[in-house]
Amino acid sequence: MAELPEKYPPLESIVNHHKGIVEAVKEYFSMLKKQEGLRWPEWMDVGDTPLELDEKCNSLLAEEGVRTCFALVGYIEDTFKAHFLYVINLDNQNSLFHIFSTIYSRKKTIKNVSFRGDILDSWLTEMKMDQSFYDDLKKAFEFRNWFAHGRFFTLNTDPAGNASYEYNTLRLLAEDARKLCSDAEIYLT
Amino acid sequence: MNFDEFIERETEQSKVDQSQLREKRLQEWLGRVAELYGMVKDIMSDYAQSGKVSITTDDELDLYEELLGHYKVPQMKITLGSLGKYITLNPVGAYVIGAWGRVDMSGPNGATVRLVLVDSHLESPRIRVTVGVVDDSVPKRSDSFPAQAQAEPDLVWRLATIPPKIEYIPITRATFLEAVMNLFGYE
Repeated sequence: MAELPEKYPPLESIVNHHKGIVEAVKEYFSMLKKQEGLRWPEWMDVGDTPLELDEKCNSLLAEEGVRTCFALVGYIEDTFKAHFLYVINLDNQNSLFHIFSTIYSRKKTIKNVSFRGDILDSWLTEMKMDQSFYDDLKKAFEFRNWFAHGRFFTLNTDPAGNASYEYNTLRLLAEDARKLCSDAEIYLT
Repeated sequence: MNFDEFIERETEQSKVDQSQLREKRLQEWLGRVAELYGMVKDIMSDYAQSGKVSITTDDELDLYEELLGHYKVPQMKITLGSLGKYITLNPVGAYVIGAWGRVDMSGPNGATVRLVLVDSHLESPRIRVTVGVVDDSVPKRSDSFPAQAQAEPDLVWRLATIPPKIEYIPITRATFLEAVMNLFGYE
Protein backbone atom coordinates (compact mmCIF):
# COMPACT_ATOMS: atom_id res chain seq x y z
CA MET A 1 0.00 0.00 0.00
CA ALA A 2 1.38 3.38 -0.95
CA GLU A 3 1.51 5.95 1.81
CA LEU A 4 -0.50 9.11 1.35
CA PRO A 5 1.53 12.30 1.23
CA GLU A 6 2.02 14.12 4.52
CA LYS A 7 -0.50 16.75 3.56
CA TYR A 8 -3.27 14.19 4.10
CA PRO A 9 -4.99 14.40 7.46
CA PRO A 10 -3.38 12.19 10.11
CA LEU A 11 -5.71 9.46 11.30
CA GLU A 12 -3.26 8.52 14.02
CA SER A 13 -3.72 11.83 15.82
CA ILE A 14 -7.46 11.17 16.17
CA VAL A 15 -6.98 7.54 17.21
CA ASN A 16 -4.19 8.34 19.66
CA HIS A 17 -6.18 11.20 21.14
CA HIS A 18 -9.11 8.86 21.67
CA LYS A 19 -6.93 6.17 23.23
CA GLY A 20 -5.28 8.75 25.49
CA ILE A 21 -8.62 10.11 26.67
CA VAL A 22 -9.99 6.60 27.31
CA GLU A 23 -6.93 5.64 29.33
CA ALA A 24 -7.03 8.90 31.27
CA VAL A 25 -10.74 8.54 32.07
CA LYS A 26 -10.27 4.96 33.25
CA GLU A 27 -7.32 5.96 35.40
CA TYR A 28 -9.27 8.91 36.79
CA PHE A 29 -12.20 6.72 37.78
CA SER A 30 -9.86 4.14 39.20
CA MET A 31 -8.44 6.86 41.47
CA LEU A 32 -11.91 8.03 42.42
CA LYS A 33 -12.81 4.49 43.38
CA LYS A 34 -9.82 4.49 45.69
CA GLN A 35 -11.01 7.89 46.91
CA GLU A 36 -7.91 9.63 45.67
CA GLY A 37 -7.41 12.67 43.50
CA LEU A 38 -6.67 16.35 43.51
CA ARG A 39 -10.10 17.55 44.50
CA TRP A 40 -13.68 16.38 44.79
CA PRO A 41 -15.11 16.39 41.22
CA GLU A 42 -17.78 19.07 40.84
CA TRP A 43 -20.15 16.76 39.00
CA MET A 44 -19.91 13.85 41.40
CA ASP A 45 -22.47 12.96 44.03
CA VAL A 46 -21.22 11.98 47.43
CA GLY A 47 -21.99 8.38 48.31
CA ASP A 48 -21.88 6.81 44.86
CA THR A 49 -21.48 3.07 44.95
CA PRO A 50 -18.64 1.50 42.95
CA LEU A 51 -21.27 0.26 40.47
CA GLU A 52 -22.74 3.72 40.04
CA LEU A 53 -19.24 5.08 39.48
CA ASP A 54 -18.66 2.41 36.81
CA GLU A 55 -21.88 3.48 35.08
CA LYS A 56 -20.75 7.13 35.11
CA CYS A 57 -17.37 6.08 33.73
CA ASN A 58 -19.00 4.06 30.95
CA SER A 59 -21.35 6.92 30.13
CA LEU A 60 -18.42 9.31 29.86
CA LEU A 61 -16.50 6.87 27.66
CA ALA A 62 -19.54 6.40 25.42
CA GLU A 63 -19.79 10.15 24.96
CA GLU A 64 -16.08 10.32 24.16
CA GLY A 65 -16.62 7.53 21.61
CA VAL A 66 -19.42 9.47 19.88
CA ARG A 67 -17.32 12.64 19.75
CA THR A 68 -14.40 10.74 18.29
CA CYS A 69 -16.73 9.26 15.70
CA PHE A 70 -17.64 12.79 14.69
CA ALA A 71 -13.95 13.58 14.23
CA LEU A 72 -13.46 10.37 12.24
CA VAL A 73 -16.23 11.23 9.78
CA GLY A 74 -14.60 14.64 9.34
CA TYR A 75 -11.35 12.83 8.68
CA ILE A 76 -12.98 10.67 5.99
CA GLU A 77 -14.29 13.75 4.19
CA ASP A 78 -10.90 15.44 4.53
CA THR A 79 -9.20 12.41 3.02
CA PHE A 80 -11.38 12.26 -0.07
CA LYS A 81 -11.18 16.02 -0.57
CA ALA A 82 -7.42 16.11 -0.10
CA HIS A 83 -7.13 13.25 -2.57
CA PHE A 84 -9.35 15.12 -5.05
CA LEU A 85 -7.14 18.19 -4.82
CA TYR A 86 -4.03 16.10 -5.13
CA VAL A 87 -5.27 14.43 -8.31
CA ILE A 88 -6.41 17.56 -10.15
CA ASN A 89 -3.04 19.17 -9.49
CA LEU A 90 -1.08 16.30 -10.98
CA ASP A 91 0.60 16.39 -14.38
CA ASN A 92 -0.27 12.75 -14.86
CA GLN A 93 -3.50 12.95 -16.86
CA ASN A 94 -4.92 9.49 -16.37
CA SER A 95 -8.59 8.51 -16.15
CA LEU A 96 -8.93 9.58 -12.52
CA PHE A 97 -7.49 12.98 -13.39
CA HIS A 98 -10.04 13.38 -16.18
CA ILE A 99 -12.96 12.41 -13.97
CA PHE A 100 -12.02 14.84 -11.22
CA SER A 101 -10.98 17.59 -13.64
CA THR A 102 -14.34 17.39 -15.36
CA ILE A 103 -16.07 17.94 -12.00
CA TYR A 104 -13.71 20.76 -11.16
CA SER A 105 -14.25 22.47 -14.54
CA ARG A 106 -17.99 22.24 -14.14
CA LYS A 107 -17.93 23.68 -10.61
CA LYS A 108 -15.33 26.39 -11.35
CA THR A 109 -13.97 26.55 -7.80
CA ILE A 110 -13.04 23.92 -5.28
CA LYS A 111 -15.52 25.41 -2.80
CA ASN A 112 -18.35 24.52 -5.15
CA VAL A 113 -17.33 20.87 -5.37
CA SER A 114 -19.72 18.84 -3.25
CA PHE A 115 -18.18 16.04 -1.28
CA ARG A 116 -21.16 13.72 -1.36
CA GLY A 117 -22.75 14.77 -4.65
CA ASP A 118 -19.58 15.12 -6.71
CA ILE A 119 -16.61 13.36 -5.17
CA LEU A 120 -18.24 10.42 -3.45
CA ASP A 121 -20.76 9.77 -6.22
CA SER A 122 -18.03 9.84 -8.84
CA TRP A 123 -16.18 7.22 -6.82
CA LEU A 124 -19.29 5.05 -6.99
CA THR A 125 -20.24 5.56 -10.63
CA GLU A 126 -16.92 6.18 -12.35
CA MET A 127 -14.47 4.30 -10.17
CA LYS A 128 -16.70 1.42 -9.18
CA MET A 129 -16.44 1.93 -5.44
CA ASP A 130 -17.87 -1.07 -3.60
CA GLN A 131 -21.58 -0.39 -3.06
CA SER A 132 -21.56 -1.59 0.55
CA PHE A 133 -18.59 0.69 1.33
CA TYR A 134 -20.45 3.57 -0.28
CA ASP A 135 -23.53 2.76 1.82
CA ASP A 136 -21.42 2.63 4.98
CA LEU A 137 -20.00 6.06 4.17
CA LYS A 138 -23.48 7.45 3.62
CA LYS A 139 -24.60 6.11 6.99
CA ALA A 140 -21.55 7.66 8.60
CA PHE A 141 -22.52 11.04 7.19
CA GLU A 142 -26.09 10.60 8.37
CA PHE A 143 -24.57 10.08 11.82
CA ARG A 144 -22.56 13.27 11.43
CA ASN A 145 -25.67 15.25 10.53
CA TRP A 146 -27.45 13.80 13.54
CA PHE A 147 -24.58 14.84 15.80
CA ALA A 148 -23.92 18.23 14.21
CA HIS A 149 -27.49 19.43 13.93
CA GLY A 150 -28.75 18.79 17.43
CA ARG A 151 -29.02 15.21 18.50
CA PHE A 152 -31.03 16.12 21.60
CA PHE A 153 -33.52 18.19 19.65
CA THR A 154 -34.69 15.41 17.39
CA LEU A 155 -36.84 12.55 18.61
CA ASN A 156 -34.71 10.22 16.55
CA THR A 157 -31.90 9.67 19.02
CA ASP A 158 -30.47 6.76 17.07
CA PRO A 159 -28.78 8.02 13.90
CA ALA A 160 -30.72 6.40 11.07
CA GLY A 161 -31.08 3.26 13.11
CA ASN A 162 -27.59 2.10 12.24
CA ALA A 163 -24.44 1.47 14.23
CA SER A 164 -22.08 3.58 12.16
CA TYR A 165 -21.37 5.80 15.12
CA GLU A 166 -19.57 3.06 16.97
CA TYR A 167 -15.90 4.00 17.37
CA ASN A 168 -14.28 0.82 16.05
CA THR A 169 -16.61 0.68 13.04
CA LEU A 170 -15.82 4.25 12.06
CA ARG A 171 -12.10 3.86 12.68
CA LEU A 172 -12.05 0.90 10.26
CA LEU A 173 -14.10 2.90 7.77
CA ALA A 174 -11.58 5.75 8.03
CA GLU A 175 -8.71 3.33 7.52
CA ASP A 176 -10.46 1.86 4.47
CA ALA A 177 -11.05 5.35 3.07
CA ARG A 178 -7.39 6.16 3.43
CA LYS A 179 -6.40 2.88 1.82
CA LEU A 180 -8.81 3.47 -1.06
CA CYS A 181 -7.31 6.87 -1.80
CA SER A 182 -3.82 5.59 -1.24
CA ASP A 183 -4.30 2.66 -3.59
CA ALA A 184 -5.81 4.95 -6.19
CA GLU A 185 -2.57 6.89 -6.17
CA ILE A 186 -0.63 3.84 -7.22
CA TYR A 187 -2.27 4.13 -10.61
CA LEU A 188 -1.37 7.79 -10.81
CA THR A 189 2.35 7.49 -10.27
CA MET B 1 4.26 -28.69 62.41
CA ASN B 2 5.76 -28.77 58.91
CA PHE B 3 5.63 -25.95 56.37
CA ASP B 4 2.54 -27.32 54.57
CA GLU B 5 0.62 -27.44 57.82
CA PHE B 6 1.88 -23.97 58.68
CA ILE B 7 0.63 -22.56 55.35
CA GLU B 8 -2.73 -24.26 55.71
CA ARG B 9 -3.18 -22.95 59.24
CA GLU B 10 -2.25 -19.40 58.27
CA THR B 11 -4.62 -19.51 55.27
CA GLU B 12 -7.46 -20.73 57.45
CA GLN B 13 -6.72 -18.07 60.06
CA SER B 14 -6.71 -15.41 57.36
CA LYS B 15 -10.14 -16.56 56.16
CA VAL B 16 -11.44 -16.41 59.74
CA ASP B 17 -9.98 -12.92 60.20
CA GLN B 18 -11.55 -11.70 56.96
CA SER B 19 -14.88 -13.20 57.87
CA GLN B 20 -14.78 -11.59 61.32
CA LEU B 21 -13.84 -8.21 59.85
CA ARG B 22 -16.66 -8.46 57.33
CA GLU B 23 -19.16 -9.37 60.06
CA LYS B 24 -17.91 -6.55 62.29
CA ARG B 25 -18.21 -4.01 59.46
CA LEU B 26 -21.66 -5.29 58.54
CA GLN B 27 -22.91 -5.07 62.11
CA GLU B 28 -21.51 -1.54 62.42
CA TRP B 29 -23.28 -0.55 59.23
CA LEU B 30 -26.60 -2.09 60.27
CA GLY B 31 -26.21 -0.34 63.62
CA ARG B 32 -25.73 2.99 61.86
CA VAL B 33 -28.86 2.42 59.79
CA ALA B 34 -30.80 1.61 62.96
CA GLU B 35 -29.40 4.80 64.51
CA LEU B 36 -30.68 6.83 61.56
CA TYR B 37 -34.11 5.20 61.77
CA GLY B 38 -34.16 6.07 65.48
CA MET B 39 -33.45 9.71 64.69
CA VAL B 40 -36.23 9.78 62.11
CA LYS B 41 -38.69 8.16 64.51
CA ASP B 42 -37.83 10.79 67.16
CA ILE B 43 -38.34 13.62 64.68
CA MET B 44 -41.66 12.21 63.50
CA SER B 45 -42.86 11.00 66.91
CA ASP B 46 -45.44 13.76 67.45
CA TYR B 47 -47.01 13.06 64.07
CA ALA B 48 -46.87 9.31 64.61
CA GLN B 49 -48.56 9.56 68.01
CA SER B 50 -51.34 11.72 66.60
CA GLY B 51 -51.85 9.24 63.76
CA LYS B 52 -50.90 11.70 61.03
CA VAL B 53 -48.07 9.50 59.87
CA SER B 54 -47.24 5.86 60.28
CA ILE B 55 -43.72 4.48 60.31
CA THR B 56 -42.77 0.90 59.57
CA THR B 57 -39.53 -1.00 59.12
CA ASP B 58 -41.06 -4.37 58.35
CA ASP B 59 -39.85 -4.67 54.76
CA GLU B 60 -36.30 -5.73 54.06
CA LEU B 61 -34.01 -4.98 51.14
CA ASP B 62 -31.56 -7.51 49.74
CA LEU B 63 -28.25 -5.77 49.20
CA TYR B 64 -24.99 -6.97 47.75
CA GLU B 65 -21.66 -5.27 48.25
CA GLU B 66 -18.39 -6.70 47.04
CA LEU B 67 -16.78 -6.40 50.45
CA LEU B 68 -19.80 -7.38 52.53
CA GLY B 69 -21.49 -9.96 50.33
CA HIS B 70 -25.25 -10.45 50.39
CA TYR B 71 -27.18 -9.18 53.38
CA LYS B 72 -30.63 -7.98 54.37
CA VAL B 73 -31.35 -4.54 55.77
CA PRO B 74 -34.67 -3.01 56.89
CA GLN B 75 -36.35 -0.40 54.74
CA MET B 76 -38.16 2.42 56.52
CA LYS B 77 -41.53 3.48 55.17
CA ILE B 78 -43.16 6.71 56.30
CA THR B 79 -46.79 6.94 55.21
CA LEU B 80 -48.44 10.34 55.40
CA GLY B 81 -52.08 10.71 56.31
CA SER B 82 -54.74 8.32 55.16
CA LEU B 83 -54.14 8.83 51.43
CA GLY B 84 -51.35 6.29 51.38
CA LYS B 85 -48.65 8.56 50.02
CA TYR B 86 -45.32 7.58 51.46
CA ILE B 87 -41.59 8.04 51.39
CA THR B 88 -39.03 5.30 51.87
CA LEU B 89 -35.57 5.23 53.35
CA ASN B 90 -33.53 2.78 51.34
CA PRO B 91 -30.05 1.82 52.54
CA VAL B 92 -27.72 1.73 49.53
CA GLY B 93 -24.45 0.53 50.99
CA ALA B 94 -21.63 0.93 53.46
CA TYR B 95 -18.86 1.02 50.87
CA VAL B 96 -19.57 4.16 48.90
CA ILE B 97 -17.37 6.91 47.55
CA GLY B 98 -16.69 9.76 49.98
CA ALA B 99 -18.77 8.48 52.87
CA TRP B 100 -19.12 5.62 55.31
CA GLY B 101 -22.57 4.71 54.13
CA ARG B 102 -25.58 6.01 52.25
CA VAL B 103 -29.35 5.81 52.61
CA ASP B 104 -31.61 7.23 49.90
CA MET B 105 -34.84 8.89 50.95
CA SER B 106 -37.25 8.60 48.02
CA GLY B 107 -40.55 10.36 47.51
CA PRO B 108 -43.69 9.50 45.56
CA ASN B 109 -42.55 11.27 42.40
CA GLY B 110 -39.20 9.57 42.13
CA ALA B 111 -37.23 12.39 43.71
CA THR B 112 -34.48 11.30 46.05
CA VAL B 113 -32.42 12.85 48.80
CA ARG B 114 -29.16 11.28 49.88
CA LEU B 115 -28.43 10.75 53.54
CA VAL B 116 -24.75 10.07 54.04
CA LEU B 117 -22.69 8.93 56.97
CA VAL B 118 -19.70 11.25 57.21
CA ASP B 119 -17.05 12.69 59.49
CA SER B 120 -18.77 15.13 61.85
CA HIS B 121 -16.08 17.74 61.15
CA LEU B 122 -16.78 17.91 57.44
CA GLU B 123 -19.14 20.35 55.78
CA SER B 124 -18.56 19.05 52.25
CA PRO B 125 -16.90 16.03 50.59
CA ARG B 126 -13.14 15.67 50.68
CA ILE B 127 -10.92 13.43 48.67
CA ARG B 128 -7.56 12.09 49.66
CA VAL B 129 -4.78 13.88 47.82
CA THR B 130 -1.96 11.51 47.00
CA VAL B 131 -0.58 13.12 43.87
CA GLY B 132 2.75 14.85 44.49
CA VAL B 133 2.64 18.60 44.76
CA VAL B 134 5.78 20.64 44.18
CA ASP B 135 4.66 23.66 46.14
CA ASP B 136 5.37 22.88 49.79
CA SER B 137 2.90 25.47 50.93
CA VAL B 138 0.05 23.34 49.51
CA PRO B 139 -0.97 20.45 51.72
CA LYS B 140 -0.09 17.17 50.09
CA ARG B 141 -2.79 15.25 51.80
CA SER B 142 -6.10 16.00 53.38
CA ASP B 143 -6.27 14.34 56.75
CA SER B 144 -10.02 14.70 56.96
CA PHE B 145 -11.07 12.28 54.26
CA PRO B 146 -12.79 9.25 55.72
CA ALA B 147 -10.99 6.55 53.76
CA GLN B 148 -12.40 3.16 54.62
CA ALA B 149 -8.99 1.80 55.57
CA GLN B 150 -8.33 4.55 58.10
CA ALA B 151 -9.51 4.61 61.66
CA GLU B 152 -13.20 5.42 61.82
CA PRO B 153 -13.74 9.08 62.70
CA ASP B 154 -16.66 10.53 64.63
CA LEU B 155 -19.45 9.71 62.17
CA VAL B 156 -22.78 11.44 61.81
CA TRP B 157 -25.69 11.25 59.38
CA ARG B 158 -26.09 14.27 57.13
CA LEU B 159 -28.40 15.35 54.34
CA ALA B 160 -26.27 15.85 51.22
CA THR B 161 -27.13 18.52 48.68
CA ILE B 162 -26.66 17.77 45.00
CA PRO B 163 -23.58 18.66 42.91
CA PRO B 164 -21.90 20.90 41.93
CA LYS B 165 -21.67 22.36 45.42
CA ILE B 166 -22.34 19.53 47.80
CA GLU B 167 -22.92 20.51 51.39
CA TYR B 168 -23.62 18.36 54.41
CA ILE B 169 -26.67 19.57 56.28
CA PRO B 170 -27.15 18.39 59.87
CA ILE B 171 -30.31 16.35 60.35
CA THR B 172 -32.58 18.29 62.65
CA ARG B 173 -36.34 18.31 62.94
CA ALA B 174 -36.50 21.40 60.71
CA THR B 175 -34.12 20.18 57.99
CA PHE B 176 -35.59 16.69 57.87
CA LEU B 177 -39.19 17.84 57.62
CA GLU B 178 -38.18 20.32 54.92
CA ALA B 179 -36.50 17.48 53.00
CA VAL B 180 -39.69 15.41 53.27
CA MET B 181 -41.78 18.29 51.94
CA ASN B 182 -39.32 18.77 49.07
CA LEU B 183 -39.82 15.15 48.08
CA PHE B 184 -43.52 15.90 47.75
CA GLY B 185 -42.78 18.87 45.54
CA TYR B 186 -43.13 21.60 48.17
CA GLU B 187 -40.31 24.14 48.27
